[in-house]
Order: sequence, then C-alpha cells, then structure tokens
Amino acid sequence: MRRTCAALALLSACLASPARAESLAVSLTTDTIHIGSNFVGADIVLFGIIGRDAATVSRSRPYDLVVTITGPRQTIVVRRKQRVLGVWVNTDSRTFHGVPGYYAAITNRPLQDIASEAAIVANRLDAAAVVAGTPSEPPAGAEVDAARDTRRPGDDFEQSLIRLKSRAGLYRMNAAGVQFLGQGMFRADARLPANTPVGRYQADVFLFNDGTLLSRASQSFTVVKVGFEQRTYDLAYTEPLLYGLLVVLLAVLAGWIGGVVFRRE
Amino acid sequence: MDIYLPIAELSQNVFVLFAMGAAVGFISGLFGVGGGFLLTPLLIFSGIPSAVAVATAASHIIASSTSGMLSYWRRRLIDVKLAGVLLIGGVSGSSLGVWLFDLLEGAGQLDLVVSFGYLFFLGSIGSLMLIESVKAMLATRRGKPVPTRRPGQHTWVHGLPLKMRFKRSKLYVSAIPVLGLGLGIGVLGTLLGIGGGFILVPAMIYLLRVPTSIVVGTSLLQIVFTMATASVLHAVSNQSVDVVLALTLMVGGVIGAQFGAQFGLKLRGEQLRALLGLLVLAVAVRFAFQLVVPPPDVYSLTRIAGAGP
Repeated sequence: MRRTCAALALLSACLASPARAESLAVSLTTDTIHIGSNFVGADIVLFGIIGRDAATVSRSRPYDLVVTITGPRQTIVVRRKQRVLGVWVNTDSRTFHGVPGYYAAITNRPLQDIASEAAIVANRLDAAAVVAGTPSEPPAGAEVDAARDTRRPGDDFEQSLIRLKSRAGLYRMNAAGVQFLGQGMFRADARLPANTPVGRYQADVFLFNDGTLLSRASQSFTVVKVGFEQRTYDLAYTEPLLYGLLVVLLAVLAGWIGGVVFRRE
Repeated sequence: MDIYLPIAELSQNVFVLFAMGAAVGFISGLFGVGGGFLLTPLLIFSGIPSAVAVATAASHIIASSTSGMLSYWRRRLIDVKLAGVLLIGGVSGSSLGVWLFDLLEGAGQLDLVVSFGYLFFLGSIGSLMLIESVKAMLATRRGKPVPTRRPGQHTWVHGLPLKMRFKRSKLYVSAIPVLGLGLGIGVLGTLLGIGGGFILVPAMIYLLRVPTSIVVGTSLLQIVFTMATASVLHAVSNQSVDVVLALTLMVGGVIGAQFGAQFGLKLRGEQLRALLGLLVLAVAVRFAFQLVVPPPDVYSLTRIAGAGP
C-alpha cells in the first residue's frame, strides 16, 4: 500500500513537472502513532528519494531539504499579565484560530541559508510564518492591525505563542535533522513529545536548490489514543455524567477499602 | 515510570503523583482535614493545568474523607439532619461554583481568583488557628486553665428566624446560617478545589455552637457529598476530571492518611492546630508570592476546548 502511494506520488510528480525538475517521493515509517498509558512521546522518521533522470537539469550546488510537520489545528488564547495595583493580572489577550498544536521544521542546514524570506513566508517554513499566517483576533475594543500578516518576526503575542509552544516541546526547529543517505535518498527525524495533541498531522517536504523550490511532496499520519486512554477520553466527553459518577464511586470505594483495611477501632 | 493522563493530556511520573497523594493523605489523616488546600496547589505547581487540578482534587477529597466519615458513622457521631440542611446549601453552592469556574476560565481570570481565594481564606484561617493554639499552649505552660466554651452562650446567629431543631446536636437554630454556611463551602470547594473542612469545622463550633464531638463527622459527611456533587458537575460542564490522576493520588492518599492518623494520636490538640495553622499559612504565603512577584513569563497560553480533533 505504502509502496503504491510512493509510486503514485512519484508518477504524479513526474507528470506535473514537464520541465523535468527533480521528482520527490517520501514515506513515513508509520502512519499511526498510538498513545497508551506508557506514552512518553514518539520518534517519527520520514524517508524520501530525490528522483532524477537523463532529462533533469544538472545542478552545480547540493540539494537542500526542508521538512515541516504540522499537527492538528487548535484555538489558542495568548494572555499577557500586567501589574495592576501591585498584583500580576491577565490584562490583554489574543485568540489564534487554527494554529497548529504541533509544528516542526527540520532541515539539513540553517533555514536562512536554504530559502529566501519570501519562500519561507509563502510555504510556511518556520513557526513564525505559520503563526503570522493564522487568523487571530484581539479582544473586543482593541485596535486591529490590518497589515500584520506580512510583518516579521511578528508581534509580542505571536512571538510568545511560539516561545511557549517551543518551551513545551511542541514547536521545534532542527537544522541538522535531515540526513542525505546517498544516491538521492534522505531521511528526516522528528520527535513528538508526550503532550503532543491527538489528531491528524501532515509532513510536507520541500526540495530546494540554490534558493529555488524545485519540488514538494507531502504525507500525513495520525496520533490516536488507544485502549483504556481512548475509552476514558471518549467516556469523559460523550457520557460526562456517567464518567463523573464513576469517578465518585471509585473515590468512595477507595476511601471505604482504606477504612476497612486499616480499621483502627 | 511515567503514566499518561488521558484528560490532562500529558505524562507525569507515577511515583511522584503517588508520593504527592501519600504526603497529602498523611497530612489529612494527621489533622483530620480533606487536604484539598494542599493537593490542588501541589498539582498546579507540578504542571497540571489548574482546571484539571481543581476538578480532580475533589475526587481525592472524597476518598480521603470517606473512611473518616464511615468511622464516625459507626460511632453514631454524625448529625444527619444538620448535614442534610448543610448539603442543600452545599449542592446549590457547588452548582454556583462550577458556573463561576467556567465563567472565570473563559475570561482568563481563574488562576487569579484561585490565588486570591487561597490567599484570603488560608491566610485568615491559618492566622486565627496559629494565634488561638499559641495562646492555648502559653496558657497551659503557665498552668492556667484553658478557657472552654460555655454551652449556654448564644451569638447573633441564634436570633435569626426560621428556627429548626437538630436533636443529635442538641441545637435549636435558624436554618439560614446553616444553609449559608453550606452554600459558601460549596462555592469555595468547587472553585478552589478544597473540601473546606478547615473553614466548616471552626464555623460550626463558633458560629452554630455544634458540640465538638459531632462536628467532625458531620462536616465530613457534608464534604463527601458536596465534593461528589462538585466532581460530577465538573465532569459534566468542563470535562476536567482526570480519572487516572485521581486514582493514582487516591491510592497514595488512603495509605498516607492511615499513617497520619496514627501519628496524630501522639500529638496534643493545640500542637496539632498550631502545626496545621503554620501549614495553611505557608500555602497562603506561597500564593501571595505568586501574585506579587513578577512571573517568569508574563505571557501564557490557554487552549480553547472544542476546537481540537
């Protein structure tokens, strides 16, 4: 199945580029990541091959690769504290609609050396570009800056979103995560932390040469909770009353058993 | 060994959680309190989202209060009618608390209100306890008799209308302060993730003049039911109760409570109260610091539920 996909991707890449640029075929080592009770994060590996044939233009510079992994979209509120009457209080905020819950940009060398600012913004090749391209709204009454989307590196709220997500291990940059294995083959390594969100992820691969985007390919995978974790989560959201009663029952039972086992009188 | 918490959606070391439950259980067994005022802040400081911490602590309080409640029940030291009236207030208070909780969380001010709530209630109760117990200790050292409560004494509370008779407590008081007390504890418990025993017990003794022997069992019964309501309401309205976290804490808590209770027998009443007062005050000071000291990062992120997968 995966092989067919790769073959199809290769075929479509060939058909789509009559100028005979390089084709790109990629495959992930897994298409589903399971979250069980012992989940502490996961490593994902992407393999790919840069396809060349006799008609492909010869290149004097080595290839560059950018792999981005974009997790499920979330609505996130960024709040800023200020000192009010000597106490630190959340005063202003901005809501980002559809910002990725996980984002990684993996390259073979620093991104700035691979692609131009314009290409980074257009293809969303770093977290700043992704966040700046996300619709966001300040709370009612605050001024709206219409020209905000193009500004880099973004304002305080955008930078803080990226900083806090990075600190939680959810936004990652790795300028040495892509390795060339020879004969046009490469691998990219990414890490999903234990707090990675559940949902659909997409890996996008961009092939650059001398600052020019030659080809791109993508592949998706999902992160799902399984077994007990899934059932618990489902129950909590679909049957919250039953779930709540079960928790109370468990608590009473635990207390009662404790009282019986260690009965003192 | 890490364990994945399905509702909090993060991993925590299972032994750390277990130890936390056991330590809080020890304290609750030692002082006869639910321990929520310690557990909720501990969970928040260890990285659990405050919504999950508050909602999950309620179930831990149920577990740690149940065994105590059952032992008082067997010794018939519970005024069921009084607890019932308290509960009517308590359940309404819980509903009000959950509503406020969701409102504050949406406005981004939950942490602030939780901090202020802890600072105010723990600060005042802790200081009162400490002062009272130190006075008692000094009095016994000087050989003076400790002034005891005179049973016939009435307060303004006893002048209110709508009087009810509580046979077990030998009380004839208005239902208004009883309902009000239940309501207040219900709101606080749900909002702050505390059982409220350390507020309820002194209030019942000093305000309502309930006999000391009846107070603890009755307040435990009231706490178990108020926290059960809070747990269910939290589960229904904000899906923040993490059963895996709750279970891990409970197991530690139930075991810790037994050792705490045994150790508590070796200490005198006023020593216990002084220690508890110090502990309560320490938590209040910790919250005061959090409010006043500049935070390491003035920005924070909150994920809006429902936008996920």
